Formats: sequence, structure tokens, C-alpha cells
Amino acid sequence: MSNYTENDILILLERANLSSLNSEAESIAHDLNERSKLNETLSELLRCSDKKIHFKVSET
Amino acid sequence: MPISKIRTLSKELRDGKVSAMELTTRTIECIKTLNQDINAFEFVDEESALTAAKNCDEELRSGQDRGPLHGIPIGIKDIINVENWPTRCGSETYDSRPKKNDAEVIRQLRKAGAILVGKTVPHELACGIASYPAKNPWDQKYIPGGSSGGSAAAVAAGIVPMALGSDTGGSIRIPSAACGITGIKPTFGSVPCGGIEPLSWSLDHIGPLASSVEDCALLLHSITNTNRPDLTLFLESINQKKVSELKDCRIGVIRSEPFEPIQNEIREIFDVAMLQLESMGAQIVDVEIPELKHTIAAEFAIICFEAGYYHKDRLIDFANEIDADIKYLLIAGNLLPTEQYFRGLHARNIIADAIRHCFDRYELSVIATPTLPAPIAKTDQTDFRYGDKDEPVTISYVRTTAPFNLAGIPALSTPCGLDSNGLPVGLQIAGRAMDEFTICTVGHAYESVVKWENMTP
Repeated sequence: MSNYTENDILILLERANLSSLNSEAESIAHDLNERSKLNETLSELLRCSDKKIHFKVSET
Repeated sequence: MPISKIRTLSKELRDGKVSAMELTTRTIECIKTLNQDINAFEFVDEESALTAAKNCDEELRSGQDRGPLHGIPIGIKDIINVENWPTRCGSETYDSRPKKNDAEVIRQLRKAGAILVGKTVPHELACGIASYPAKNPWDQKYIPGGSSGGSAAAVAAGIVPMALGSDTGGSIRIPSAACGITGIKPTFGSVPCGGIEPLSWSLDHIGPLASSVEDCALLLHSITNTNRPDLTLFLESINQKKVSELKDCRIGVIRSEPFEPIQNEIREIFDVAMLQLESMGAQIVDVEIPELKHTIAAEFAIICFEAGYYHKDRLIDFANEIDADIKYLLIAGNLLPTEQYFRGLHARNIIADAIRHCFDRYELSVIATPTLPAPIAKTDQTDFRYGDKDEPVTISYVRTTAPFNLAGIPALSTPCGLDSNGLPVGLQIAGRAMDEFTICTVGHAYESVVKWENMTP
């Protein structure tokens, strides 16, 4: 899982032509880390999907 | 103001009891009186509305009838382009230049004879649930919901009988629930999105808000981009008063994440609604879709990349004029690795499959949930408390509505009671793709028994 630092953010902002936001690097790093953590929770779902096959079940 | 029904107004127009000009004049007067308090409209074009009304009256007099929306005033969410009107998207970053063309959905509304009176307030960039400065007509200390908050407030206050909204994670159903009206998010792609400012193009849906399921269906029927015999059938069955019993209707209820945690008074109101549906002949079936607990992660992974891409220039030029939460969402979409986007898309497919599988496995007609797991938030409220945990208001609201955006299936919200503060609570009914008929049938049957549609602020 990524753990963005302020320095990482400065580099990413420059690459994205968003250097005007450099002063917010600390807050952005925190936000990106939270979003990455949330995105990482999808791993459980994505892993399980390989194993699961849905069948139509008729209740009688 | 009592909310007028489209079919009633339509009949009065044809019986000569009222003219489109009178309806439109009354609407404009209402905006002048009520809008000072609730700020539902941010732009009104009195002159063009009155001209359109005059034409509608002349057409009716000459025998040209465009259908049930002919001569009926409508409010348009201000993310939808209307020729000669500005689109501001609730944002200081948009200019006020009038748009050159109508959105596709507006062309269809004009063809149907609806009278466009003005633009309703959305949440900034259609990305939020407060819709500032619009206020809830039930109590101005509370938000009207969002992002189609102005549309919902305008209908609930009785200013217009119908309005257009958009729904990316609940933006039609959340304000409909908060304002005590009905709103439908139709099947993905069934209403054209051309000429509309997107938030997240793979999750955006355009749909109706009105005082009842029937009125929403009438509006939806006029704006779908293909012939929809299911909606025609629904509207005909209402005409013939065939929709009243719910025999053979199986309603799935999910009592786990993301519909939990839920505040007790909402659960109690929802359970009463299920008993009422059961008494009408429906079978209530408890079902589980464990995949849905990943709704928020999938929804926000997709939105942040799509919105971040679309609004990148806005971010470069006007970052300081964008609300901080939205700004960080847009920044994230431009900085995070695209792998996170693809994981969101992959998760969406799994969630959509799981919902389809649930409909098949339990042979469900619809899934019913509370539209929102908590009451309406006050304008300054940031969190809800569930047990010993706090959850941001936005997450609380979106987690119960977004599953059906991810799946692209139709879902409506209709009122099902009042909470302890006397504010409305919404019942959400979702169906299979392209099966608006069934959600409308269940919703209409429910509202014709409980009569919550007659509640007004």
C-alpha cells in the first residue's frame, strides 16, 4: 500500500501541472493515504470474485 | 403550498379550467414569494416561460396536444444546458455566458410541451448532499439533500409540480427523501446525458422529481431516449386503476452493510412500511449481498478519477474557488495511480453481478431499503452517530443509495413517514435493469395506500 509523503506529493503535483497546490501538500498526502487505504479494502472483494461462480437457484 | 399533480393540471388545462399562462404566472409568483426563503431557484426566465406558455395555450386551442406535460411548468437542475440560459453547476468557477444549445433531455421536454421556468440550485459541481444555499422547505434549519437539492425543494414547496435532477450516488433519491417527495433514478443510459455537465459519466443518471410515483413516471416517459413500453404499461394500468394489490410481489430486504448501521427511528419507520407492503399481498424476503459493503470504496474510486479528469482545467485555474472536500477529490483523481480507478470499475462489475444474482436467486420483484439510514441533517451538521461511532453525513447518505448507481439499475425514493422532528423519511425501491414498471408499480401501490404523497411542508 502506498504511503504518500509531502515530498511525493510535490513531485506528483508538478507532474500533473498542479504545482499551484504545493502549499497543501501535507493535507493532500493525508487525503491520498486515506483514499488509498479505502481502495485497498477492495482487494477482499476482487480476490473473492475469482473463486465465486453464481448459479441461479430456484426456491421450491 | 400544496403540490399540484401533473395529471390533475393536465386535465384542468384541457377542460379550460386553467391555462398554461395562468399556471406559469402562478409559478413565477411562487418563485418570487418563496424563493427568498428556500433558494430553490438560482435563475428564472420569466419572459421565455410566458412565451412558451402562450404558445402551449394556442396549440391546445387549435387541437395540437403534446401529451400530459403540455403546459406544465418544470424546474431544471443547473447542470443541464438550456439554450440562452447559463449553466453554473453551483460553482463560482463557471461563467454566466448563455449556452448555445439545449441538452438532449431539454429538447425532449420542449417536444413534450413542458414549460421551462428556470434553473434549480445543485450542490457545487453536483458533488455533495447539502445544495447550499437551497434550504429544506419542511424546516430551513435542515439541508434539502443533494445534489439535486434545489429541484427537490422547488417541488416540495409547491413551486413547480416537477423538476429534473441527476443522480451519481443518490443525488435524486437523497433530496427526494429529505424533502418528502418522489424521485426516480432510472436505468443507466435510459435518459440521454448529452449537454449535461458530468460528475462521473459512468455513474451519472438523469431523472425526475415530483410529488408522486405517477408524476415521476409521466416525466420519465417523456425523456427516455427509447420507446419504453413498460412505462406506457404502468401509466395505462394506473389509468385503469389496476395497480393496487401486490400479489406475487417478492420484496428483498437487506439488513446488513451498507444498509447498516441505521438509526433506530428510521428502522422502525421502514419496518412499518414493510408491514404495510406485506398487508397488500407482498412477500418480504430477507436477503444478503455481502459484496455491497464495498459500495463506498468502489463509488469513490470511480468518481474521483472521472471527476478529476473532467474538471482538471478548473482545478488548475480556480482551485481556491472550489469547496475543499470536492477539491481534494479532484486532486486525488489526478494524482493517484490509475490502478485504483480500474479496481473501482472491477469492483463495480462484481457488485452489479451480485445484485443481479440476488434478484435471480430469491426471485425478487424489487429490493426495498430505507433511502437514508439517518434523519435529515441540519445545515451545520457534519456527522451522524451510530452507537459509539461517528460517520460523515455524506458517507451515511451515499452508502445506501450508491449500490444502485454502481449496478445501473432503477431505484426510486418515495415518502414513508415522518421522524421524531416531523421531517420526512424515504423508502427506496430498486428493480432490475429496464424494469421501471415494477418499481413504479410497487411504489404507486404503496403510496396510494399510505397517502404520504399528500404530505406537504
